Amino acid sequence: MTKSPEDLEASRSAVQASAEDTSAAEIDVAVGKDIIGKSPWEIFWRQFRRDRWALAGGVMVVIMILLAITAPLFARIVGHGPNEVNLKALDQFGLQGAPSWWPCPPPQEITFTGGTAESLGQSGCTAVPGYVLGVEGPGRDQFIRILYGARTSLFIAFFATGMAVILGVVFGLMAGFFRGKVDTVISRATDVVLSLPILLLALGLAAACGTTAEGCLGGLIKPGLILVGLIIGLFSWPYISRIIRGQVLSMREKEFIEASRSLGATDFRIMAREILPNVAAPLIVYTTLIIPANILFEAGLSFLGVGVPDEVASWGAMLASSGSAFTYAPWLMIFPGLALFMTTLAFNLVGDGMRDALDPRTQV
Amino acid sequence: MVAVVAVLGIVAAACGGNDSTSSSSTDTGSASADLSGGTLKFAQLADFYSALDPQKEYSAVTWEYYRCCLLRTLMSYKGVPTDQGGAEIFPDIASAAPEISADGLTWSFTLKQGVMYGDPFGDVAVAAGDFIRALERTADPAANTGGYSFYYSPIKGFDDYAAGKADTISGMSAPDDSTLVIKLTEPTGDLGYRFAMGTTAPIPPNGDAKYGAAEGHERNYGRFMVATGPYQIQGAADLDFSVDPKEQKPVAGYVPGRSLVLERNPNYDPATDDLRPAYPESIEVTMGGDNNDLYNQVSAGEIDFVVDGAVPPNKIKEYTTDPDLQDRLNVYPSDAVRYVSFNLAMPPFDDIHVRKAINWALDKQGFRQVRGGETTGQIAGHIFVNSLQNNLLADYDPYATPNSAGDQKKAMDEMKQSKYDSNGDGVCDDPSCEGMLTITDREDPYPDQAAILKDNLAPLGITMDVKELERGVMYNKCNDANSHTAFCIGPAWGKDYADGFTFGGPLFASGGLWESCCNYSLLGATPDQLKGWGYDVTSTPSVDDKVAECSAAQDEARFQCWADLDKQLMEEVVPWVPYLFDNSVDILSPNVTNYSFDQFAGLAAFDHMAVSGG
Repeated sequence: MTKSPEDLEASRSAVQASAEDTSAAEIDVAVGKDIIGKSPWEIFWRQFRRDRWALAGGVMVVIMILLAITAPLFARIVGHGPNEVNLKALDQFGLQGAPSWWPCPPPQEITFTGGTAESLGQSGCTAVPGYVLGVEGPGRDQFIRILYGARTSLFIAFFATGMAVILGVVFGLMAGFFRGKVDTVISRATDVVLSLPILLLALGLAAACGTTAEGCLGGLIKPGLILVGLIIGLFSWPYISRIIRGQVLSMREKEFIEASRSLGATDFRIMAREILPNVAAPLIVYTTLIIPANILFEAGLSFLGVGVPDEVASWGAMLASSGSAFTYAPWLMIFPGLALFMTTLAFNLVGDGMRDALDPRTQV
Repeated sequence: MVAVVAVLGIVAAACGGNDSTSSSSTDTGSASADLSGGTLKFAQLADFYSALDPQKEYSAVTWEYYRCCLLRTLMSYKGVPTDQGGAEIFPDIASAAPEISADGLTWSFTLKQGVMYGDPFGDVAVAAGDFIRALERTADPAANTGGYSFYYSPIKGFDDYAAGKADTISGMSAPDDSTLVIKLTEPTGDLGYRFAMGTTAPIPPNGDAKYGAAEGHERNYGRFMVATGPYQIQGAADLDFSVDPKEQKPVAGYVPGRSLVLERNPNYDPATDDLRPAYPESIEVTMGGDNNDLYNQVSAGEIDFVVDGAVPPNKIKEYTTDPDLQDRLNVYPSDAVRYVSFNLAMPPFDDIHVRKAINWALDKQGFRQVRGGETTGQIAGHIFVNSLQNNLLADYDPYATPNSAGDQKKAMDEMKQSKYDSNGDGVCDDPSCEGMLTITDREDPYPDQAAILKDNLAPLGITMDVKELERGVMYNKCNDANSHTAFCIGPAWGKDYADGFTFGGPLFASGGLWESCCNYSLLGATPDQLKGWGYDVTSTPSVDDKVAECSAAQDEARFQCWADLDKQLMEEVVPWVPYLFDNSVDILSPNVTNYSFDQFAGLAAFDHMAVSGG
């Protein structure tokens, strides 16, 4: 006979009180409650949302994506784009203006001999109305450039990382599944790629291909965002490949693989339909952990001057030009640095949370 | 003698128009024992463009090292500002001003006695034939890449030697070790100035080698250079010229891209030299680094001077406005112009209306502002610095705009007349206007200037592909006709000496084309030359006739002729957008106790800088 929810709850409490070690499922069986199975993704989501730090990271990632998407809207609101120059936002010595709320000391007029005539000037920094995060370079809005810089970072995050994931999965699957000579070739190729000095290669490419309009190889290699993404993607796949290879090696001997093979499934079908879904969890985790590393790598390349061109806003390039100005314009370093820090922290938190949520030892 | 009077007249008139702004002490060139000694510590952002080779180096920085310290020439300068005679030449290795024949075609120099070479040729006296050796190497295409050999074409037989048609320069002879005779193909009143430049410095003999100590070092004689000045490169005593040039080890004191150390030349006799006080005991130069960081080190006294970096705007502000620091700030007109150049063989710059439109559009005030503001110079309305034209064009600016900030409407009106604006809307709609290869210096403020220019040109439909390069590489790329550089942002040009030919000749005459220097706009290139460099454009404007006319003019007519050429360039040729008549702005460390500005090089006079503790 059916019982009311209240009766069920009372029975449950009684059973629970008498058997402390009883699992939730066993309790439900004892009181006759129907067992509702949860899909792996529901279990994952339940675990993930219990991690407040991971949730916070996720929210930050979403905010960053939204800001990147709406960057043109903000540019329209403030009335200027990321590359528009406003020399009135510089002082007469060409120094960048401070954020509109910055506590600049009271202006003090000074006379000096500039060129051939006496001139009036103003000592100290100058807060510029309308520039909420200050002025960068030759009078560009730092707030807008930080928003557009988020696009650069997201491009690297998804394009470069996506390429690394695709290559890593393909090579890792093949190496782990086929073993033998295929594994040997792929594994040695992985070792070679890991040994290459990526930074020096990037510097060399920029030096060799960055001084002419045509670039190298008939225009195939030209400095820019695509090249940066390619370099990062082509040199970060080995990490994923090794992880996937290890997972596949342990999985290929399992009974369900044998069962698929005995049913006549091809190698491709087994890899795609049996193995790949089972490596998705660690793959997602490592992908979210590689994203911040790739974002920092792009920032590093731009810092060294071999990343994206000047008209493409990049947090790394902004940091590169801010170091020498720190004593008189600290906002040039603080805000791009914060943006980079918060973004990489957000992805790291999400990645940690996903790893914990997907670890079967922590699931209930 | 007529020619001598003409030369002196030119110098006097050129000196008259300058007004200098300075706030520091200078001296008159006579050495003071109290100031001697100590080690000057310099920083240099970029290495020398041609490894210090005198037949190649064509930059103010290297010329100052030659004048102050390493290489004496027949005539030279005192290393002082114009109002103290800094633009005048005086006998250096020559014992007196040259004797010139009545027709101006024969110049005779008598050498001083007792001028010896530095190590390892310390027992060898400079002889007249050593100058002939230097001029032969100047003419040799294998040795003079990027140099200024065109200045010596008036010497009879010079061009024949350069073309391989003769074994010697027929117009140069040394009747004895103390006498040098130069015969010219045409009167050249400023020949004395041309023999004050580093490429004419004597090269010592070495056995039977044609180029003496420079033999076999076509690419890098600077690393084996034998000095004649008060200093030599440290380690010169260990140079061994007795072995095959390929086996000779370069001097230890110059490590390309890293450092240069100058020590006193033990064979230099100050009694033969009343131009150079040579105060410091040695000069240590480190290369590379960040410009802002280097100037912080100057403020802190860790280094004394930055040779080739622009004083950052925050330092200009600091030193300009702090009464305690103003004494360590030096501002002088450097007789140089800063500009953006066009390559007239690259569409759309083969259309004068596009070039004029950019002259209207460029924000010159903004360019100056990001350099540090008014202190850094005067807005330039034309090309030649005013002192070379006796101020005839002081108020001339055919593209004047309110506050020199550019005028987009006038720019678009000009663009409408261009063949690259097919619908007459003031915007270029030809693919050649997109992604134009633009070369600039990677140091501040040039990237900011590139951003300003991009902003100025975007409404005209012109977009740029900017490459930021190390300075030496930038200059090479801008000069190399094969690089197909459309815009060159970042170059500056200073007078070689106080005459308009030093602008007109190298910058706009065909003699300054690649592989010589520095006609970036390719004016006067022949169709074969253009084709050889890979251009589809078959002709560019030429001003060779006008340059030749002005070279032959005398006195006031000469000033007027250069002024007329300037107007022709600005209105009918338009090879550039000149934006600033540059000031030399220096800040010194607290250790520097004496300073002079060398009007010749447009830099601080290194031999006049004294350092405390000496």
